[in-house]
Amino acid sequence: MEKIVVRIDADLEDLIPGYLQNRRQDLEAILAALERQDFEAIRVLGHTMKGTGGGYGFDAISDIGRDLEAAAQEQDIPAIHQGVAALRDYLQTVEVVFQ
Amino acid sequence: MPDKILIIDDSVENRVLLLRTLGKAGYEITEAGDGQEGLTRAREFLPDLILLDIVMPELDGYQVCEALKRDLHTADIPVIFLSAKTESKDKIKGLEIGGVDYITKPFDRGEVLARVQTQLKIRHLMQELLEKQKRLEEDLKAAACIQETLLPTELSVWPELDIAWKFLPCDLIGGDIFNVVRLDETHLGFYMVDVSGHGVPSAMVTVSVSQLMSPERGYLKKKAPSPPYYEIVSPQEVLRALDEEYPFERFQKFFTIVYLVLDLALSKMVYSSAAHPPPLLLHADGGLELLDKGGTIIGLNGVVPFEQEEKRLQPGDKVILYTDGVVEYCNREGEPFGVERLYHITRSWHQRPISEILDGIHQTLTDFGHQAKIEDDISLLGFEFKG
Repeated sequence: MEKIVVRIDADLEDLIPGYLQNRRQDLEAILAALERQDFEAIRVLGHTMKGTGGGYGFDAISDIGRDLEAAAQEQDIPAIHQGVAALRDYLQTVEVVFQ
Repeated sequence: MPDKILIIDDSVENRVLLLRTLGKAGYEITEAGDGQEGLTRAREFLPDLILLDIVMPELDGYQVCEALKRDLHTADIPVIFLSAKTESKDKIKGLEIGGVDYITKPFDRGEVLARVQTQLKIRHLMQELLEKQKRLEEDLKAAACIQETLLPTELSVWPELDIAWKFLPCDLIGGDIFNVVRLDETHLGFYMVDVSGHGVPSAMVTVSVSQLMSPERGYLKKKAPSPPYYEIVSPQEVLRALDEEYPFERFQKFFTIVYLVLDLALSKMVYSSAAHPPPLLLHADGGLELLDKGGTIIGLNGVVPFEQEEKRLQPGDKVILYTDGVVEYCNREGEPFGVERLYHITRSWHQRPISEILDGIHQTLTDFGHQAKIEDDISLLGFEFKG
């Protein structure tokens, strides 16, 4: 799979591994919430991703978060699965370069 | 001392990111993870600026902002909303309830820093402005006290006279000045000045004129070669000297003045006016005369010579000097008080002591105006000749 290179300020270097790890946990949390049909929990997770991603330099995470928030509001299960897949793919392919 | 910033956001990741961004810029930061904690921290920490998330459990950002604005301790702290709510109605609501700015998440760190710096700069300029305003008001109050010392003080020195006055400046300090000066054992000078405009420049001119109108300066009394080695200068000569001393170009100001010399020994007075509202001579029988001799306003370089007039006084006669602020005072409907009302009150109260007449004019003005703002200084100076 082709790597997606993201350039991030060096002063955030120590924060990035934790941030990406939290998103991996979000993946599990969204799937668990989906099993419970807890769309509100998914909406909150999506909203948080939308609010934080770009600030840390991951614009794509903000976009995925926005889609997940909207899908949860609509209780659109296929769209939520699509969002989860997009996030998983992104987390597997992103490569951070600090500058 | 670094500026203090409080971050209120339920997302740890946002707080960490903001802490890193703003801390690196040298600010002192504290943080709160929910609205209630944010309110407590705001009161304890008294930050210079608050970054406030909107979507939070329990108290949301709007409620927090409203509570901050209700509290006198925190009401002046600028609040920047920082939210993933991106619709215009959310931004408008945030600004309407007291936010100074609204940044949407995800945010650019450079933009947050720039907006924080801008708001802190505005806050510092505002604080500086308020401090300067406070100092200015203190200075004006001090100036008002000084100006008050130039008003009549020794009112009960002459048994032949009852003297009273009223002064209502429209600002802290005024463009009117008046006084009673002792020229010698039997002569008194009364003057009333109204400088164009209001506020500090006009008040400074009143101080200058007031100094010049003290007998020691030589304008009201001049040396003479034979006993008593002085001569009391006539009102028309005094006005001519003032007109030379205060051309319009000197202070960019005109002024009106009426100057009256009262001779207690001979029961007479001489006056001249430079476009000042004519003083009222109220006879003991209620008859009213206007003292309207004089010339043009001071500052026109003597385009017209100043006339003067002598009047004999009978016991019980009263003289009232006033500025146009009395007759031009308007009520809430914009109707001026006018000279007719002034003449009517004066005539109808002619038997009352001079102090009561001035009090009555003041009270009638107040009743007429229904607390309408005073747009011009109001001055009244009067005396009763008791013979």
